[in-house]
Amino acid sequence: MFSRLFKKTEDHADFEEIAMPQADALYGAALRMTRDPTQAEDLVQETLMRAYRFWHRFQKGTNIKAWLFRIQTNVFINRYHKAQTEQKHRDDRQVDDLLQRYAVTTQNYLPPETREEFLKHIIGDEVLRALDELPFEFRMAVLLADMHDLSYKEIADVLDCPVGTVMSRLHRARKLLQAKLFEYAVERGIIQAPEGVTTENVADLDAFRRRRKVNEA
Amino acid sequence: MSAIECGEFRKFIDPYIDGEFDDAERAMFDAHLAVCPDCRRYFDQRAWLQNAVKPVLKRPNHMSAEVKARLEKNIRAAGRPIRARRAVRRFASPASAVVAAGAIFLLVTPLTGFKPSVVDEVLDQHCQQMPVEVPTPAAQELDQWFAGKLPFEMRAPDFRDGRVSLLGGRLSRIRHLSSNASAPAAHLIYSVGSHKMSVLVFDGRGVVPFEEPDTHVRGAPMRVHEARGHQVALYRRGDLTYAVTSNLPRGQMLDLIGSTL
Repeated sequence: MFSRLFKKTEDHADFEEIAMPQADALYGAALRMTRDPTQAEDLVQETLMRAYRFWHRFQKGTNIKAWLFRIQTNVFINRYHKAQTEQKHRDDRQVDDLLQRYAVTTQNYLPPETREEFLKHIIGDEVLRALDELPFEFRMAVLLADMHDLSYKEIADVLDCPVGTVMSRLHRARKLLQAKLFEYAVERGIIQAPEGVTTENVADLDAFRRRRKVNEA
Repeated sequence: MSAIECGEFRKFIDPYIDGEFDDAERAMFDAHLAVCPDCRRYFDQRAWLQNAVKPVLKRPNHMSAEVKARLEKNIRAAGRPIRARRAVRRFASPASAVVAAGAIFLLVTPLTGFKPSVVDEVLDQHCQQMPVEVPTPAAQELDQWFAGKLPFEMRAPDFRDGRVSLLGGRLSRIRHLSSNASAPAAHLIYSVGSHKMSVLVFDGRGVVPFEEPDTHVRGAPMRVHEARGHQVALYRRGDLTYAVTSNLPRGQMLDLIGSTL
């Protein structure tokens, strides 16, 4: 029995060296996936345990990050994202809403002279907040591409979808992100709402509350 | 090489920015950018924003030292019997060697087991002739009996199939994968003709990492293992994990499960 254990162990000899250094990267992604530090820790733990169990399936020389993210995504979907169809329905509606808003907000080109102001006030936690508000599939695309520099092909492998789908999700996700950032900028008065349309046209309770807070302050 | 138009340029701006294009494709896009001020403005804004957003997304997130230490300990403990053996030799007392070997075995087994440990555990419980604590054919009565005895609200599956009869239930436990702790579970025992069928119900979060489903029954994802002449089907309903075990033919058992969904 022990000889079997040892054999198993030799197969795992490089696990600590190759997989473990990715723990922080997995955690960073897990935070954005679960939006909760405790759940994120659980998710990483389970991901690495499974990676350990299936270590013989990892092809040496391929992207370890992509392989681990694939496991983490599966674990996450199975564990936390069960009500898939229901969620999907809601996500689609949310995306429609957001894209409509995008059409509104990006009529306004951000003039280069306002960019510094924009960077100073908007680019910070707002980016993470905007990302957290994106539906899961879109969030994952941005996360893997922009946070972890995976190629479209690798993202397609992680999310188990065609490369074309990755491209369109990423395209829409970034548009949505941009729309949200612009919206924050309009709320803070950094850029002006486009002529004739205001963000009030879109019923967004969160945005409404944020605006009120800013005005009261 | 045909020229591209604005619509196309904007549609494929992401792979352009991300460097996904080969040289020929990139050249087409470069050429369009050189002659189209509108698209240049569009590109400029997208690229600028992309550059501004990326560093924020890339800000590192570190796990707390405590969590990381625990994680590394778990993995290392599972992966290092050889080093552990060396350590044992250094301390060289037969008693500590036995203890250490035992500890290694306990830690390794759930991780490197040849079947996921939950399947073995569920099978063990099915095969042992454990007495039922509450003999009742009524699922509702069973749910009531479990109320207050379990840290979750028990929902016995409702088999809408005349061949299935409930014999009763008992309190049980299921081991955590990553530690020696265990969580309470409800063990239900049924008869299906001359076959016995067990259903173990527990709060699976943190207890078993759910395998990728390999089948769907009435749209519900499921993982079915075959072991020791039995079928073990694992699936989830809400927060609860169900493990159904029997030596019925696979198709028949899945049909029965389907009648509860």
